Amino acid sequence: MIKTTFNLLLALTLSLMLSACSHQSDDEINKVEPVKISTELSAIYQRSCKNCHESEATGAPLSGDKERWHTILEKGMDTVLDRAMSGYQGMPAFGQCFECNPEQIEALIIYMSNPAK
Amino acid sequence: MNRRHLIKSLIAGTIAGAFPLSSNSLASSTASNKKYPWKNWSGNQQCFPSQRIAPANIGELQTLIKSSRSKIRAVGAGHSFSELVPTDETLLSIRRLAGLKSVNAKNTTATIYAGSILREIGPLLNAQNQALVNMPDIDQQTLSGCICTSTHGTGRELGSLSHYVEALEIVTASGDLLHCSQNKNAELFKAAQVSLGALGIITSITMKNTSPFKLKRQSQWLPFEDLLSQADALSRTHRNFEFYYFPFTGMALTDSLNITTEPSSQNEELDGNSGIMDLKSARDYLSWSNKLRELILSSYMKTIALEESVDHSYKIYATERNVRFNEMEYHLPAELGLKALQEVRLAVESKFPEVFFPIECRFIKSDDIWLSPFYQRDTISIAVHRYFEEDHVPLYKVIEPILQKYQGRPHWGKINTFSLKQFEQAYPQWKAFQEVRQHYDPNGKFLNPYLMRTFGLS
Repeated sequence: MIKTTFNLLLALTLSLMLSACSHQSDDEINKVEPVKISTELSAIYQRSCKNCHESEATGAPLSGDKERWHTILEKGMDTVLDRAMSGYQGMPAFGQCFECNPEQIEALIIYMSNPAK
Repeated sequence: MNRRHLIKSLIAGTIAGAFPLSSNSLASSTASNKKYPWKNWSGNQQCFPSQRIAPANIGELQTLIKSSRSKIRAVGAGHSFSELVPTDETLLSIRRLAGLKSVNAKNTTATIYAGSILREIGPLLNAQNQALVNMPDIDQQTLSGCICTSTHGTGRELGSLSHYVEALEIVTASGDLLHCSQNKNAELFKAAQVSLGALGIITSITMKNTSPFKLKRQSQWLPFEDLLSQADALSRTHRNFEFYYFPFTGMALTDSLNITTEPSSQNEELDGNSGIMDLKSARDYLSWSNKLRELILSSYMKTIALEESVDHSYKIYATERNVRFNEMEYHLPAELGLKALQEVRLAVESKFPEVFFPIECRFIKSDDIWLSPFYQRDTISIAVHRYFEEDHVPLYKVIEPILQKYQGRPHWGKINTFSLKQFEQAYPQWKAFQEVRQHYDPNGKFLNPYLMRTFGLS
């Protein structure tokens, strides 16, 4: 809608930050084997995760965006899991999944970091 | 089975060892009944429910309601800004009750499970040669959440989603599953078409639909004064018409949708989210001179050409919103809406230079639903947004009296301070709704503190 020079400045700044923060090569990230999940977990993913984590415009880390998930998981699974269960930024607590337990949330985090096609 | 093995069992065929799994601390904290919060989308509402439940089927829901001794509030997708959801007792998600239940091709109706998200419904109906008549500009809500709050799109000849409800099923406080429509349990139906979740848990909704259709979107920038003189005519010309006024620019963006048979197309990738943040940046850099801010922004806006796109109706109504905000929206008599808007503009631009979100104006057809804000009057709605990280209270304290002065009724799902007395005066069928509610839920099982207060119950 409105495209100003702010976008360009922002993009430039972000690209500088990203290149400075990249510790792991693409090869290393791609080494991790894609994750498969059970039918039950897949249903939860469809219900509670997909709408945000497969839509770029929501700002949520996208399923399969290995670099972004790598950066997130570097914070440690305890931190990531606690944020997912308590809610963090635009992420609602438990992703609004009222039937989920922590193990399922953790498995879904792992899945989204590198989902099998 | 220990925790690591359990997680490995959930993610088959992988090298789970490559991932840094959590320690046991979170599992133990959950086991020791640590309460986790529930928050709405913007984060202005939160609570710590004692119990979260998500029944897998209607039988399970009936048993839960019948056996529950605590109060139960239902939550949809968490897109309400008002206090409808928060409870420190049981919070119930209907999200697992989702999908199409049945389709009637002859009557062009479809019965949809209440926990279905609007975004999911479009493709499901399309496959059955049907489409919702109208949709809001966000499609992340559950159908039930929309119905309970009279959620609406825009269109002078189009009602809110509740307007298109032909029948619904609801589990009441006794655990009974009741079917209601114009012909069966008619009073319950009139109350349940907009019920705030106060009558029971809606399990499925029969919608009057139409055949699938495509819409052509046209968006155009106009000077605000020009828009004001054309708005009424534009709302009559286009199937769906709304506009946004951008404070401190003197400019408005019109958004028109009309049925078309043209092939799907898009002439430019619209990105409202980056646009909003650009307006924030302009505010940050230029709020010291509102004249300069208006000169720069309006000069730029005037250079933007007409934007067009064509797609299936269910794909074109909604836009993604990743810039979070809080919102107050009032529904005003159509003949007073534009006058009120001018007063709102004056108040914002004279007192709140920090505001950068546009003010949204939509048109909605009247209905005869007891708690519908559109009850027996064609409506212009005015929505005032505030960036979620910024305090909305001072702005809304000034704007709300203006909207109330013009006989505004608040959107049930948006921020407002309407009192019991004001609701009683604004809704001719208020008492009738309360009588139905009392009949089906005499002990207030489905009420939270907000609804107790709003209904005048101690």
